Amino acid sequence: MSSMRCIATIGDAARFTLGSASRALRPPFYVHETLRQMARVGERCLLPVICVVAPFGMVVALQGLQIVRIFGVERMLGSILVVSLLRELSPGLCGIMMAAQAGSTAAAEIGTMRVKEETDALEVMAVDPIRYLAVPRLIALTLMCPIVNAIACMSGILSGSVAAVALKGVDRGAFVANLFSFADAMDVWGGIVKTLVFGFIIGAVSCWCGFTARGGAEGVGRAANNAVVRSIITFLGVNYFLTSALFRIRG
Amino acid sequence: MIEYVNVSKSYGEVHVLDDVSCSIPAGRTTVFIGPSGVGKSVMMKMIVGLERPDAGRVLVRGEEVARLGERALYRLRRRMGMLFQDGALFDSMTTGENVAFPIRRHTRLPEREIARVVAEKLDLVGMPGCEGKMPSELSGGMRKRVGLARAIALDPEIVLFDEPTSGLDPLTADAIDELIVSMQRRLGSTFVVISHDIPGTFRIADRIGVLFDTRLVAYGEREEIRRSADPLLVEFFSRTI
Repeated sequence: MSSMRCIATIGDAARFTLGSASRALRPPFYVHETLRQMARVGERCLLPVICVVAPFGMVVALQGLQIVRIFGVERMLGSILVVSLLRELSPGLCGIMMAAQAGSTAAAEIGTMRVKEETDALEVMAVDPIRYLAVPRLIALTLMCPIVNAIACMSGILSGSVAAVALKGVDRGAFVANLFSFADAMDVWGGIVKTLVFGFIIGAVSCWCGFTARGGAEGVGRAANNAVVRSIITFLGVNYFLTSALFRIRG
Repeated sequence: MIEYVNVSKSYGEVHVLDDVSCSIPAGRTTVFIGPSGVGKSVMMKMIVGLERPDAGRVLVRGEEVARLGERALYRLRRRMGMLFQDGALFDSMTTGENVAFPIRRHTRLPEREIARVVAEKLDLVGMPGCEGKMPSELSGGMRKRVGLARAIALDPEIVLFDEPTSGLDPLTADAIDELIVSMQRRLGSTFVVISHDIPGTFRIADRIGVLFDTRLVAYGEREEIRRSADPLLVEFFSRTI
């Protein structure tokens, strides 16, 4: 892809995102469709995200245990687990899985509607397809990402605790007492802000990939694939700046 | 009703329409016919603002479509219905929900009244009682009928048909042609049809426009076109008449 074409593509995506976001703030609001999309996102994403975050919690506990034992601070294992999950692992893994599950679905659905002229049919029926198709999915992904992340994060802490206490014999009292020694409200708020931004990026990129789908089944497949890859790359890049900003706020 | 004034359109190096001018009268069926790839669909999509001319103007009821703002364009579109090539039905909705879609979006009718209108429109296109069927359960001809029911759900002044008989067997194509004729008589709306089906065109058209090599080479009353001695038209129509 030439650099000019790349810049034009980014500009096109940015314009689409701004257009969708501004439509989300102005009536008509498709409340029923938005709630339906939220339910679908929750239904599709919750279990897969838990299935990824929970084993990661166990792995962090096992890896962390190797290190804390060297320094003789086994009691701090709980803190390491909670901080790593709250700050980075859970939001990042949640975003990746939601891009794979809900992002690809959104791109494939809208892409199929695009190539089958269903979006043109909406236009002719005087219904704005961006407002009707993209905005509910964008809102659903933005709002559901922190909710799914919160549940997944709890599952990660729980599974990590099981691995440390039940399987590796770490003292339960010390583990539980130090769970939140280093974590504070800022970590919780940071996770919420991060996942709100991740969800918004996944929603915007996926819907845009769907709306730019061309050329039948192959085009729809490409749109779904692009939605996953581009949204993950974008939100992981943005994550660096978010983390920097959060550290600066924390002081 | 609808006017094309010196309309031209290109996609990169490919010219699809070149200096097309014509006036489509209200309350009649006008068919644009021509070989594939001469810009027939583009020409029709300009009426609803899905495509914009590079040069020239497309006027609907005196308003230039390309210059309309979003609200004005949507207001204009509410007075139109369009049947797409494959029906463009929403696969996630039932037949009844598809037909009810524009009614729910643009009216405040109670659900019972919406159900009555849906049943009436489906009956009108020869699909009574199929409200609960999913589009995937319908044949090509049935999808077009349901697409037509959705297109006329709000009793539009203008109904557009994009290749209404393409991909259908001859008997089903004849049935769709008959449906278009009876529907036009019943509704009295302005019908604009894009087709490459020559026998069907002569069955349904009041006026015919022939597009060839990006230009509108002939436009007039059906009999005028049928009797034309223009060698290009004679050659174009000779195989099937």
